[in-house]
Order: sequence, then C-alpha cells, then structure tokens
Amino acid sequence: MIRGRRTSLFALLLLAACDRRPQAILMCHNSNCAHATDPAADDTLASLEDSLALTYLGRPPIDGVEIDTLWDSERSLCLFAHDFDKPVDELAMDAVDRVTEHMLGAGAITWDGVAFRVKIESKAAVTPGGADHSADDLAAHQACVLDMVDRLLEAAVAGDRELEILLEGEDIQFVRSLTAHSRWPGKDPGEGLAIRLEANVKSAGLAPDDLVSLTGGDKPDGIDVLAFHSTRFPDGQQQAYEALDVDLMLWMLDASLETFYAAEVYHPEYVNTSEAVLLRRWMED
Amino acid sequence: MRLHLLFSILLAAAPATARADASDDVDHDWHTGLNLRTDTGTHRVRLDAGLRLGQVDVTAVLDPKVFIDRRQNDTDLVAEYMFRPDGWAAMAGWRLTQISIDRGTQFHHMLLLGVTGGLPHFLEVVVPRFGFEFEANVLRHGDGLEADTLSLASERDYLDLVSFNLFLRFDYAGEI
Amino acid sequence: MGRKLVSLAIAIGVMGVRPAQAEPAVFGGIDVRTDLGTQWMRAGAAVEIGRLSFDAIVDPYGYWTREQHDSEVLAGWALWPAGWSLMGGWRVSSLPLLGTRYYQEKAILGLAAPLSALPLRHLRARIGFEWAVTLVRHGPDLPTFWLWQEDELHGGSFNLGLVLRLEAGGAL
Repeated sequence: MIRGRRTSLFALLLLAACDRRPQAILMCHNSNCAHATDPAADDTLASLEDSLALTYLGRPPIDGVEIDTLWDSERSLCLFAHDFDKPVDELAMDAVDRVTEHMLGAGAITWDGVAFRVKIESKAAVTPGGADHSADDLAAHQACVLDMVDRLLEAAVAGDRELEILLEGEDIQFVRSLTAHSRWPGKDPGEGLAIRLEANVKSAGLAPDDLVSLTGGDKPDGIDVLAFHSTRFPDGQQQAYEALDVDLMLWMLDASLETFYAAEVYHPEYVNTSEAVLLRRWMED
Repeated sequence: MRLHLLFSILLAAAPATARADASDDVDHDWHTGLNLRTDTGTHRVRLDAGLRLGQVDVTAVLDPKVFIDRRQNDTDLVAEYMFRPDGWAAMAGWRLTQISIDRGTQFHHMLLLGVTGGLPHFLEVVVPRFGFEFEANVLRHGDGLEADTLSLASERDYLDLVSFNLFLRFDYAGEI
Repeated sequence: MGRKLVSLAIAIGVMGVRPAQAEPAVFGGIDVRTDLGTQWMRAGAAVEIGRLSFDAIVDPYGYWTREQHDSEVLAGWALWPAGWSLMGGWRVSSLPLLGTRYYQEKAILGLAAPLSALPLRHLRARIGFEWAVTLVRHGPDLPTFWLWQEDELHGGSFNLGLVLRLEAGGAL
C-alpha cells in the first residue's frame, strides 16, 4: 500500500492543469433520475419506468438503478419506498419485476455496455414511528431482499446480462447478516454475476478488516463499497478512504457544484444521482 | 544615493504601520484585485473590480480561470452597503456559474446575501475585506435539460442547494 | 542637505512606528468555517502578549458526537500592531474510520488579521487564512502514510481554510 516514489513538482502542475472529468458507474438514485429532481417522486414505479426508459444519444445514460425497500411490520409488507410518507403502497417485488423486464428486453441497458447494477437499500425503520426490526421483522425483511436477489439473478442468466447487485442497509449488520443466511448465494454466484455489500462512510459497525474487501480483496461478509456525500460532514473520512484506495460511491440529492468538485477530487467508483442525463453529459464532456 | 534609498524605505515603512488603527476611516472610489475562497462550489481565485458610489460599493467578480479550464465559469455581481467606509457592510448579489457539459452548458443561478468587514490595509492602497455569505442555488437550467428551481417543500428539496461561504478580497484601491 | 534628509527620514520612520501592546490579553470564543476541513464550529482561546499570540482550538461537538474532531495550537507574530499576523501551528485530526480512529497530523501556515471593530467593547472578530499539510496519517490496524511516501498527493494532503473567530475578552 505504501509506495516510495515521490511526486515531482512538474507532475503536480500538470495534474492541476489537466482537470480531468472522472468516469464513474452512474446509478439512478431512488429509482428517480429521468426528470428535474423531485424527492416526492422517489421510489415510485412511475419514476422507475421513466428512468429505465431514459436515453441520451440513443443509449441509456445510466449503468444501474437503486431500489429502496421498507419492511412494514404492522402490515407485513415489503414496500418499495424511501419512507413511510409515501402515499401509495407499491411492493418491492413489483419494482424488481420492472427491472427484470428491462433486463430481458433487447438492446443495451447500460451506457458502458458492461454489467447492469441494481442497488437494494434496506431501511432501518419498520413503523412510521421509527421502531427497529424485531427478530421476526428481520427474518421477513431478509427473506424479501433475498427474493429480490434471486429474481434478479435469474433474469440476468435468462437475459444473458452481466449483473452486479449492491446491498446496503441503514443498519450495517442487516447486510452482514444476509451473508450468514442459508439462502445467501455468495458474492460471486456465477459467471458475470456479483453481489457486493455497501455501507456509508459514517456507518457504525465497520471494522479494520473491512479494508481488505473495500480494496478488492476477499472477505465473505466484508463491506465492499462506502457511500459518501459531498457536503454533509467534514471531509476527513472521505479523504482518508480515498488515500486508502477504497471503492467509494458519491451520492447526492441534487447535482450541486460541490458535488461536481467531490467527483473530481475523490474519483468515486460510483455516482448515485437523480439527474442521470446531466451527470452523464458532465462526465462525457 | 544611499540617503535617498534610506529615506524611501523609511517613508514607505511608516504608512504600513500607521495604517494599523485607521483602517475604518480611509475611503476610495474604485478597487480591483483578488477574490479568494476555500469552499468548493466556485473557483478559488478570481478577480474582482468595483466602484464606490456613495455608501454603496458595487463589485463584479470575474473568473480568469475559464481561460485555462473552460469547464466552469463563476461570475458574481454584488452590492455592499457600507455602514462605515471600509468597515462593516451588508451585501447582496447574484452569481452565475456555467458548467460545461457534453453538447452544451448548464447554468446555475445563485442568490447571495451576506456581511463583509474591513481588514488592516497594506501601504494604504491594498484594501483587504472579508465576507460571510449565504448562497442559494435558485435556478438550474441548460441546453437540453429540464429547468429546476429551488423548492423549500422539504429538507431533501433544498439541502444540497443552500450553503454558507467565507471569502477574502485583496484589492488595490484608489481614487478617481 | 544630506544630513537634513537623514534626520527627516528618521523622524518620519519613528513617528510611524507604534509601540507594541505590552499588556497581555486573553480571549475566548468560537471558530467558524464553511469549508469541510473541520467541524463548522469549534471553540478557541487566545493569549496575546505584545506582538505574540497563541491560540488553542478544540472541538467539543466532534468529541461529543465521536465524529471527526480537530484540535490545534497556533502561534502568531503580528507584522505590525493590530495588523496582519503570520501564523504557524499544528492540528491533529481524529477520524472515525473502519471502527477505529485514524489520525492525521497537520502542519499549518497562515495569516490572521482583526476585522472591523464590533459594537461591544469586549468583543472582537478575527479572520484566519491557512494552509494545512498532512504530514502523516496513522491509526491502529490501518496503514501509516508519511507525506513523502504517498505516490500521489490526494485531495486531503493539502487543505486551504478560511476561518472566522468571534471572541470576547480583553487585557488582563
């Protein structure tokens, strides 16, 4: 990890002058990236359909999509929702069906022509009041997520598509516990298929040995990707992670000027945005 | 020759120290210089030029880095109401940032509100000022993009679009 | 003529030089910044003796929340009384990283200056403009990097910062 070569002043000046736009895997934040930002439309089937149908210069500007899941403990429903404020109930499996339909269709489904990414984020609250998962809630929510994973893997195989599934939870132990589940297919379930675990730079529950998986090594329940925001917190953590060559995902509510700066400085592996065409055009400039 | 040099040095040194307590009382008609900031939303070094019209100072801030990096161009127009010459002032203004994107440009329009204060002068003619500004990105639009206006409907609508910034100006000032 | 000029020059030079403030002064207050180098608000204390100043800044919010916290000591020398100061110092940043704490030791160089007078006698505002260089990053179970060992200078190796200090205090 520590390399002895010193950067010359000339190289520094050259680097400063170059100001390259980074290339990143472009994810559709909260299944809502086809229009001007509107958080009220996040995680809805209508937004998801518009986002999957989005094109720029004849091809999809995105490389993947994010689906949020919420376990409603009172009604035993696995919802496609960012929070309990969503007025209409839509099921997580319905969202997965839209995605699998897309994967089974003809033509390119990503900008870069490589793997399609699906990020499944599992929310921590199980009631509008913010209650945590009970043991039964945990089992049910895990079963829902694994059903989603199974359906996506089947569609990828049937459609001959490369697929990467990213699993994130507001509670990091949720995603780690999936790897201990009897139905866990493993991080490499087949040719062209991969499942990676994601957390936030601020997540409690990260451990020093996660660094192995964060930098491309093998740890069965290791966290593989860390998400960060450009302005929410002091930047020491993302600077340190960037220096450790960790795989980062830059997420945003709006593509502000600070977001563009963060993308240029931290060179994240992934960018998660609600403004897919804008970010694609920014990267391609 | 040595005497002239000594005389010049001492004469030059005197005003630099004499300025220390009188910075609020010096006035000028125009100023131009460097506009510096450490926040990441705009280019960190820009050029400003301003005119004093009574108690109001109007300053344009231009972005010379656009000649090296065409991908971002930040331009401000601000007005300061000076409560005292070179003392505290209330500031309001507008910033237009242009971001180069594939096959076009995206425009960000920012409302600026703030406070500025005077700093000790250098040699009477370099007039630094410090500013604290609130910035709201009220409109974003561009070639082939849907326009997006600032909404206060929920925190998620505006959290990424408002910010507070600090800046420093080192301006050379003079009288017309 | 030459002697007259010398006398005149010396007289003007002496008139321009103000005696340094001899009484020590103590201030305490808040340290505000809008860049992301530290928490946006920290607490600081300053001691001034003549043209020398010493600042210590701590991070109560960072300590309390166990998020990133930055603590620093600075020494300054006023180039002229009530004028700009050259500042130098040391900052230790402690970051929560992968379940442990990661430390960044930073050398700081900068400038400081007093802002226009505030209405209340014992209040003052100062600004600081600083350049912080991360000399070493280290932490338990994590790699150590010295500045000269980094094969590329990451965004965090150099930080520019602007800070506003609002303080209360005065001569002792």
